[in-house]
Formats: sequence, structure tokens, C-alpha cells
Amino acid sequence: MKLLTKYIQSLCHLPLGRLGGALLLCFFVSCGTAAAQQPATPEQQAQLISEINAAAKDIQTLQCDFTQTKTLCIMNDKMVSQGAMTFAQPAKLRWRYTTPYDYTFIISDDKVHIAKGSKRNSIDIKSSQVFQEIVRLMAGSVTGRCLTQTKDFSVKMLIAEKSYIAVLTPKDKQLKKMFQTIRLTFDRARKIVTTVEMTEATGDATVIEFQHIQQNKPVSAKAFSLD
Amino acid sequence: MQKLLVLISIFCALALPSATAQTDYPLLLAGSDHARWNFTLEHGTLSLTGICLVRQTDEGLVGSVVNEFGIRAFDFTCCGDKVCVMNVLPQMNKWYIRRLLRADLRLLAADKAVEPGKRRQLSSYLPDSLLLNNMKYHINYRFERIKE
Repeated sequence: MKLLTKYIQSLCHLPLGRLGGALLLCFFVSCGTAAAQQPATPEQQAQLISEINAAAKDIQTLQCDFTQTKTLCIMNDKMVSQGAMTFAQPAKLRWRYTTPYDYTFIISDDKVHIAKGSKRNSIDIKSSQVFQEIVRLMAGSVTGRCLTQTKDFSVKMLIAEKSYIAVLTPKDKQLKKMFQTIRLTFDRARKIVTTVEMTEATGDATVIEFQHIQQNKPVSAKAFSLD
Repeated sequence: MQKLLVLISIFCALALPSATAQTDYPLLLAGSDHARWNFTLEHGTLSLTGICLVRQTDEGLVGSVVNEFGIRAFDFTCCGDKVCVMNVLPQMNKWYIRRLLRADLRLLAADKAVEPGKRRQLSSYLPDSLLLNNMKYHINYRFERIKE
């Protein structure tokens, strides 16, 4: 702090004192923080969403591992789960948790298949409006296509050094009660989602980080069945 | 004087175990202040699965039920035998559901044995498991311990 104050004084030839030094330090720190994530201008935002949407159309398959961290304020605790995700166009998804519980969620051919332990369940998506919405949200979040689902979310884009961040605020009343915001972080080079962060109204957050992402590798059809 | 000291020692020997007695929460394991359970709620053909996390605090017990994706169903606290249910999933946030959950969770979260009465039954169907039946409304709560 003293060294920084002296440096600034040498530049400005002004006696700053401790308070002045602290204020300047705060100023530089806040500038540095602000520079880390800059809000996009409307033109930049439109351009970015267009690029992400174009990249999403090029995604035929995606495979990755993920780590999900759920923060529970009331428990003063975190729950960490790990698993693997497989996606294939147009809307086939396999989401499998391996630790600390075994749970599989598959969307395929207008059906949702769920397996937990030895129990299995299949639901016809067409018969349930709720599941249709869940399928649309999940497929859209994984690829980034939800940025163009403007009837569901208002979107704000932020530009960081190595990533683009989309902050989605739900418009739907039911979704608003569950989530305050959903943040999608896109890898700047590949324009694919690397992190999904869902913040609830209570302050609890679920962060899903994708690792070892493989794009457009062949995926067996068996991946989207419980057999 | 000696007799008085002996009497005091006997009294202390009898009183101390009660004073330091551990509370016995069905949702907690012996010697642990926290636990995680695979949770299933069954009602007719409807089945809701998730994870139940519980932790002992100075006041009693605090817990949270979330689904596998981390979406919270509800939180609960228990102080003595009084259960509070809060932060309930909007689709479940009805007064009669909260009242039902409070009454049912009392058997699992209270720090002393609560009489289940005629409407409820608490049992174990596997090692490290709990099954709570609400026989009036045909609701089953299943808990299977997640080993850490």
C-alpha cells in the first residue's frame, strides 16, 4: 500500500496520505475488475448471439464430463456431483451422474427415460407440457441456442478475456420463481458452453462445469437408451 | 460427612449420563452430525426422487431436499419437535402440502421419539434405510444412505 501510494505520488506530485492511497487502490482494483467482464454493446451482442447460434448449428454431437456444485446456504454446505453428458442433434441428450449417486436422464425420440439405481421410468414428452419445456431448456442450454429463445429469457452478453458470458433472466412466471438468473459461459474460440450457473432467488447456486469437451465425434445410438 | 460425600457421588454418577445423553435423530447416523440420503417420495403412480441432506446444529436439525439436478424441493429445520418447512418449490408451495410435510418430517427430524400414531409408520427395509408411510394419504418417504 505504501509503495503504491509513493508511486502514484511520484506520478501526480500530490501528497495523498493513507486514505488517498486506499481510494486510488480501490479505483485501480475496480477498473481491473470491470475490465475482466465488459458488457457488450447492442451491436456486439447481436453479433455474438449470431456467431454462437451459427456455431450451435455446427454441433452434431457433444460429449464431455461435468462437475456439478450445488451451494446450499441454509446447510452452509456444498453438494458436488460428477458425471458425463452426451448430446446429439436435434435434441438427444444423455445426462448421467456417477458420483455420489447413480442417476441417468435420457431424452430421445419424444421420450424421457430416467434410471436411478434399479428403478426405471419413461415419460412421453408429448403428453407433458412441463417436460417439453424442460427438454427445450436443456438442449438449448447445452448448445447455446437458448440465447435466441427470447420469449423465455432476456439476454445480456458480457465479454471477458477468454470467454463470452450470457446472463439470462427468465421471463416465464414459473421459471422466475425458481431461478433469478442463468449464466452461460462460452469458450471464446470454440463458442461452446463450458459453464452453466443457475442462481435461485434464495441465493443458492448450481454451477455445472464441463470438462474434456469433444465435438462432432461419432456417438452410438445405444448411448440414448437405458439398455 | 463421609456418607454425604458418597450420596453426592452416587447422585452425580446417575445424573451425568442423562445430562450428556446424545439426541437420537433417525435421519442422523450415530456419531455423525450430518448425513446424505437418496430420497424418494411415492404417491400412487407419482414418484419424486432426489437427495436429502441433513446437518445437526446447536438448535436442532437443518435439512434440504433437492433433486439430482440440484433443484431444491424444500428446506426444513427442526428445533425440539417443531418442524418448519421453507423455500418450497413453487409447484409444491401450497399450505396443505407444507402442513403435511411438517407433520410427516416430525417423526424423522425431532430430537426425541415421536409417537407415530395411527396414520404413520416408520420402519427400515434395508440396512441404512428408512421408510416413512403416511397411511392416511398413501405417501411413502424412502431414504437410502449415500455412503461417503
